[in-house]
Amino acid sequence: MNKSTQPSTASDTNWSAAGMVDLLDDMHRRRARWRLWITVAVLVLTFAVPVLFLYNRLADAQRQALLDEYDVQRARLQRLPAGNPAVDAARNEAQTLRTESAQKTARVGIQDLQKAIDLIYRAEQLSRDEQRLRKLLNPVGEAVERTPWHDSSTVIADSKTACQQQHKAVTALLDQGKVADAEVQLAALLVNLGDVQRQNVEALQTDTCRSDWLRLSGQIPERLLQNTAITAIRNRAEQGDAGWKQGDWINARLCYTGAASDLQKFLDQELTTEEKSRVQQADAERISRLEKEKSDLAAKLNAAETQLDTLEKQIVQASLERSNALEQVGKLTADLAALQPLADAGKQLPEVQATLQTRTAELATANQTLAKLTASEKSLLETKAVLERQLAESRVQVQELERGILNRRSTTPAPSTGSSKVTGTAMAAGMQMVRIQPGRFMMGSEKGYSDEKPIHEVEITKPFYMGIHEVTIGQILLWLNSPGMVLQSNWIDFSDSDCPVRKNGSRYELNTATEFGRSEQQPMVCISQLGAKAFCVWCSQQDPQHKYRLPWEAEWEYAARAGTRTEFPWGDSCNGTEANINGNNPFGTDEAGPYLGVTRDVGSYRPNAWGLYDTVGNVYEWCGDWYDSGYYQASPKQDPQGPSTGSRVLCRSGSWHYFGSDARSGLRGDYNPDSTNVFIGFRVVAE
Amino acid sequence: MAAQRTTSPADRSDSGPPGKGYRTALGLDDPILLMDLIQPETLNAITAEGLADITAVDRGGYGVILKAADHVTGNPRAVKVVLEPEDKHRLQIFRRECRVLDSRELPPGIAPKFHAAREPGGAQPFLIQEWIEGKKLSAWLDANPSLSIAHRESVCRALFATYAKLHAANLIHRDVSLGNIMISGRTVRLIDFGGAGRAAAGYRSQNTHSKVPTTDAFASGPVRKQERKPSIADEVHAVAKVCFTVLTGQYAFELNSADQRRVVMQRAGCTSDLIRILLPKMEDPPLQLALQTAPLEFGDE
Repeated sequence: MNKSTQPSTASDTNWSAAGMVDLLDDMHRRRARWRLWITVAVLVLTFAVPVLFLYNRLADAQRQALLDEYDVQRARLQRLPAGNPAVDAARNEAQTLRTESAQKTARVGIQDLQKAIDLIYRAEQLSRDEQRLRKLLNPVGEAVERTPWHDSSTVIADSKTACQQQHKAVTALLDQGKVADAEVQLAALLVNLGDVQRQNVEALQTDTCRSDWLRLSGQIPERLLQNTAITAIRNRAEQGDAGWKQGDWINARLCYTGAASDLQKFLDQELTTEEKSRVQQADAERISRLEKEKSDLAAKLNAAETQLDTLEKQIVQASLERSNALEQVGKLTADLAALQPLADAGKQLPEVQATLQTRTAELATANQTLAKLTASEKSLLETKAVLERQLAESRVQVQELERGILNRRSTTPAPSTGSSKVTGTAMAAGMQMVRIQPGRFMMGSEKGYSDEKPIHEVEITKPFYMGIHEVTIGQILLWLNSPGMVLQSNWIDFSDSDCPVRKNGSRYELNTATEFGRSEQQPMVCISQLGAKAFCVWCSQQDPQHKYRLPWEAEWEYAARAGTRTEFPWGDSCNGTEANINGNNPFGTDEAGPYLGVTRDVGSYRPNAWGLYDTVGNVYEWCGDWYDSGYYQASPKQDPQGPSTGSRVLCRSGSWHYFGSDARSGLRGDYNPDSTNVFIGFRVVAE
Repeated sequence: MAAQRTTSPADRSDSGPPGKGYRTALGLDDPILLMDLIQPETLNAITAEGLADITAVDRGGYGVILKAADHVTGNPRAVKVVLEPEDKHRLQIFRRECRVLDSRELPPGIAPKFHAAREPGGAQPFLIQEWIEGKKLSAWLDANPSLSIAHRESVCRALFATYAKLHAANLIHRDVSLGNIMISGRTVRLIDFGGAGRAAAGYRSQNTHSKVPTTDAFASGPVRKQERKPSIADEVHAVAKVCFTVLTGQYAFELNSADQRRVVMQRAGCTSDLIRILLPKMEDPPLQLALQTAPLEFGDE
């Protein structure tokens, strides 16, 4: 009998209609659940299996893409210089992961490959960071080594040593692959170097005062050595020595300047005529010697520059050949890669084997050529680096010589003409300035344009210092490369191909590509009046004892005339012989003179009676006042500073391109304050 | 009594002594002939209850079923007229049905709504109740021979649910048959509450034989043999057999064993879990269980 027919089974069941309803409802719920499961199963079978299949295909494709990307990145990394331990470690780890990824499932393999690519990226980043830091570190090292440090000062010497040690430490860190640490150390080194360079500029200024003192002290005759006044002066100078060694620059300058001034007065009173003439003769001899050294060095410099040009051409040529060779190697490698499967598939085919061998031989030859060219290029680059270093050193020497010559010249006794007395002194950025004493002069010119009339008397009531030269490119570079310098776009027009300054990496340098940038001693051009004013602000920060600014028009004409009433400081005619103007259009004479067509090193012509160079021609010089053509009609008699507002500002002195008539002492040029061109530069005054 | 009247166990309990086959053969279900059984006084009394358009539609266990329309609303009404009212047993069934239909515990929606019951002097007693649209289950099955098994299952569930609602009201129908179940759509209504009673827990005497009619085709063995009164368990047993017929189109009593019923159900497309649920209920319920839910006669309390 079937189990379901057993009475016991019947008695076990729920004998109620409600129970039956529940049982039927349970049955329907169970069926619904089963239906749902079956539907899900069908859907899974219908969709999940193809999806899984596609997923695996995609994973394989992704792995292949990652493999390709890895190989590309790896090849890129290979082109970067090796040797950094951290880079090598990352590279090796990545290679291990890449090798192992082939033996794993797609998903795990993809993870490994992504990790490997990340490692390659990291290695590349490390390598690039290292290169970047080394690129930065090398000029820093050169700056440390080649800067003419005034290391007779203990402070400068210690700071220099500290910088050298920091430089070595950074180099060691880079060699060990600790790029992040090296970056931190390098940042600290840059800060320290900026600080010590600032101190060195201070030392440079102080050194000029010190040199003045040393030179003057050398003129003391033996008979006066025991003089009590001399002893007192020497004591003061010794205080300057102490300040010099300890880095107390302001005190040192004050002491040296004071001692030199006192000694000068003392010598003026105590020296006999014979002794004075001996001193003057010795100075003249020294100037002559320095001039000769300078011209020799300049010739050497020119020769080195020519050699450098030739070398650069050779380097370009070598680089071109190398890239051609590299391209050839790449092409041959690709050919070989294409031939390899053919060779594998058809080992018995002699022509395929022959082609393969030929290509392999060609590749070997190309590789040899490439290696030779690389070595040649490297050698040329090294030679170029040596030459550039020598060139830089020569330039520094030339600058120093010029500074020495200028020292001598500026401290020659004041000219007897005019009522002003002139005294030489050293100012910010190594600028040489003369002190212009107060006085009266007749401003304007009857032979000039209408805005120069009428001639009227002007009184300069306060003394001021004026740069004996127009501001040079070298001085501008000192400013531009100073720590914390923030350049505004309307100061210097770097987009002008004749701008004598250009940016190279993080530093500014002489733009030798233009004739206006052949020498750092050429006057700065392509700078707006706003830029010139910014330079004055920087000078004031460098030399807090003085306030630097652009000259007022009246100050400029007063100093340029230097007590004369003629059109030029030397007379009423100019044809480019006495100054750098367009000699094709002379003034006051029919005889045409030279036209150089470019600026010339400052101080290349005779100075005026008060020791100011290039007050005629070379470059126009920005003044501080607004321009008003009728200003002379009602200008104040004392210290006129131009109208209170205006749209154009004044510039004086004419330039290398302008006619003789435009280079007269009384000529009033006007430009927009933010305009820049190769005709306008500036000189500064200080109070 | 069952032996006297049955030619087929499937015939309704209230089909009267001749049985359906005889009635049809003799033309006794002819409405004109049926109307002849109603006394004019009875018709007058029915009309006096506000009904009109009176027509005979069927013959019940103890009388004739008339269809009439409410004079005021026009809604159809069913009127059950007792034939041979001098038979006390018939009168007892009539009165029991009236009490059940008018009882407060009868849930709505299961049985026809009670409107009135009259025993006019000199006329036949009659009961006025709601006219239920639809078909008897037997007719419905005949009219729908190709129903899906899912549809049949849903009817079975509705059957059990209807009886569950009735039992929850502590009532018992006691006359489960294809003719006493009306179906409209998937809604099930029960008719003929002449044998109904209250279900009661606890021991009840089994010595008093049931005087209520039952349909042998669906009754359990002891009930059919009148060994005991139908209990809730017996009613579940009967509903299970009705469901068997609904599902398979065959009568369970025609098959001798559970295995045969299983085979028939499988052939009809029933699922194994449905068979597992329904098959045990077609066995006679245990005595102990039947005793726990033995009925009380309506009005015996």
